[in-house]
Amino acid sequence: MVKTYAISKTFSDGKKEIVAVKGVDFVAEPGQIHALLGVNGAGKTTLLRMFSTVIVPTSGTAQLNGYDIKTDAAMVRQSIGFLSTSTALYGRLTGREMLKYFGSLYGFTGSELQDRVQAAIAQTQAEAFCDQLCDRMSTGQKQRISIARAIVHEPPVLLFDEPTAGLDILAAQTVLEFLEVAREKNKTIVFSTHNMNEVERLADRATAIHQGEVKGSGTLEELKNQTGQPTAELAFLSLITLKEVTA
Amino acid sequence: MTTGTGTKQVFLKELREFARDKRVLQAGIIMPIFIVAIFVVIMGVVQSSVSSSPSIEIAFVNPTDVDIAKALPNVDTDHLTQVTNWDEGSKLVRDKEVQLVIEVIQDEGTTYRIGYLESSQLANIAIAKFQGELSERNLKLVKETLKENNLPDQTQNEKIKRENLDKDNGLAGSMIVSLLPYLIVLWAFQGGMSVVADLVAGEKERGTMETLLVSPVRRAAVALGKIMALMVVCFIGSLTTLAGVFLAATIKIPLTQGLFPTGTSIELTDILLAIVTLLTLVAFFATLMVSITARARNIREAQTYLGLLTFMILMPAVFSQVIGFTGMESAQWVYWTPVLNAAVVLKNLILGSATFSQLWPVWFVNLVLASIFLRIAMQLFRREEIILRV
Repeated sequence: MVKTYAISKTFSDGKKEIVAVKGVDFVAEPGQIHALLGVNGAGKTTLLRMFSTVIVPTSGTAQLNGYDIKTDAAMVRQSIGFLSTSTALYGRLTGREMLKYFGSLYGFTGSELQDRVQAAIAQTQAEAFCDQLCDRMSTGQKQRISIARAIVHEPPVLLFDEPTAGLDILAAQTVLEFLEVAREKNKTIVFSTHNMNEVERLADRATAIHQGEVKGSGTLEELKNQTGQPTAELAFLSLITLKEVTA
Repeated sequence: MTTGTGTKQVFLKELREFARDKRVLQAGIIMPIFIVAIFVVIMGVVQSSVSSSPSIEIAFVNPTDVDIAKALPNVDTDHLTQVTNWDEGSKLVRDKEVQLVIEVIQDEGTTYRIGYLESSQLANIAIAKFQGELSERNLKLVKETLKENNLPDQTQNEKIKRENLDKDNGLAGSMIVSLLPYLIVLWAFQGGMSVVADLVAGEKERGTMETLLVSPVRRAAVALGKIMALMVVCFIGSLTTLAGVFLAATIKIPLTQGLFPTGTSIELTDILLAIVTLLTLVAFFATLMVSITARARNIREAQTYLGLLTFMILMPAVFSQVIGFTGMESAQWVYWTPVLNAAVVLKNLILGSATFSQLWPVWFVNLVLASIFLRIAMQLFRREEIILRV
């Protein structure tokens, strides 16, 4: 489960302060895909980075798999699989070496490490190319290895930040299919996107964020009813512009 | 499942990547070996040129002067030019057709007016040679005059017999010994510089830093693992210098044979002490470079910082080459000055003359600096800017 408590983040460069996330509250349950909707700069990435503990909230907090991101950061990181468009692979390692490296960082050794790596490769159908150097892989192959890297330790929580941005349709399909399978395995999944087709296809619940604030949260049906809009896209637009949108 | 510290894993992964990085192989290992080997060959050329007494061209202002010159022993009369006046001779000097113009002025005694270019090393050698020849000739004349007049010769038959008290074997006998420490220090730094921008700023730029920091590994462990890997590259860089020297010494070509009159051996104790010194030096270099590049937003910014840093490292290293002319070589402050101290101590170790009172300040300074920069690097890795400043 992912549960936030009025989580906020303000960046300061010494001269001015920028509020990136402002008092966000939502809950994502196991076995559900929770979509974070927002335009560029809405605060989605900052929110997910706080969940992954690489940045610290200015106020408020969140719990992931029962661990507080402020006080149990190490256990939170042990519990999450994180993937974003900006995360990359080590070009001079093979896919298998990359997975072994990350598996070892999660504390696995020996045969347990081998088993975890093999399972991640099988899950992402990366057997055919996992022994190539990552630099020589196609975008789709890289994305599969990235997913395998995120799940090599079998985390209960998956945080995916715009995982299909910049991918071609086949590579994007790999990610979406993976998320569907992960949901069946009762994982808690939070993924950010501004692609409404993906939201319609995957999301059990969604939270619309705009300028760092939650503008609406619930199932897609609830959001449509709340805004009186016939589609998720129009409902989202209505939420972030706070006005009626004409279809 | 345990949460390991991760230092070993990060260290081994970085080494694996370095081993597959052509830049490390080319810029950190192969090129230094060949550059140093070529440098040694050039040194051999310089030494053989100096020792073979280059011909010195002298212009004399009038025929009488030429006769004086011819009377001087060991001056090659084929390289004497007669000119009609001082200005003509001066022009030849400025045109670099001769090194000296000499006019003999007879007044109460004899004055040799010598025109030369101070910037010309060969002219300075020529003057020294001329003075030496003149002294020898004067002594001979005095002796002959005394003998002709049956007077007792009370001139002292004084001679200088030069004996090199450096160790009589190994690199101590080579003129390369003054340059070797400088090259070792330089390549220890250069070796690391070829990869450090990619090691930290490159990870930020590519996005792999975020991937890494999302794992349970502690950020201090990431910084330490990277620093240790960089130390290995710096250390290999410094060893390539020695490899280049030994390569040049092993390949027996005429140009380098005069450079190693007493072989290339160094005593085992001195090698071990040099390794300890180098390890403390590369610890300082690696922590310094990582802490600086951790501040950079991207590779380009990191390279800008490193460019400035190179200049700061080079200055004391260059000074180590000429410190012998200043008489400061044994001053205690030298051994407390970063970089300079390591270069001077490495030279002393090669010469077999290093003492523990010289060694410990070097180790102490390097380790203190390494500790300070390690702390800075770890603090920078703990900051959010390590992933946000891209």
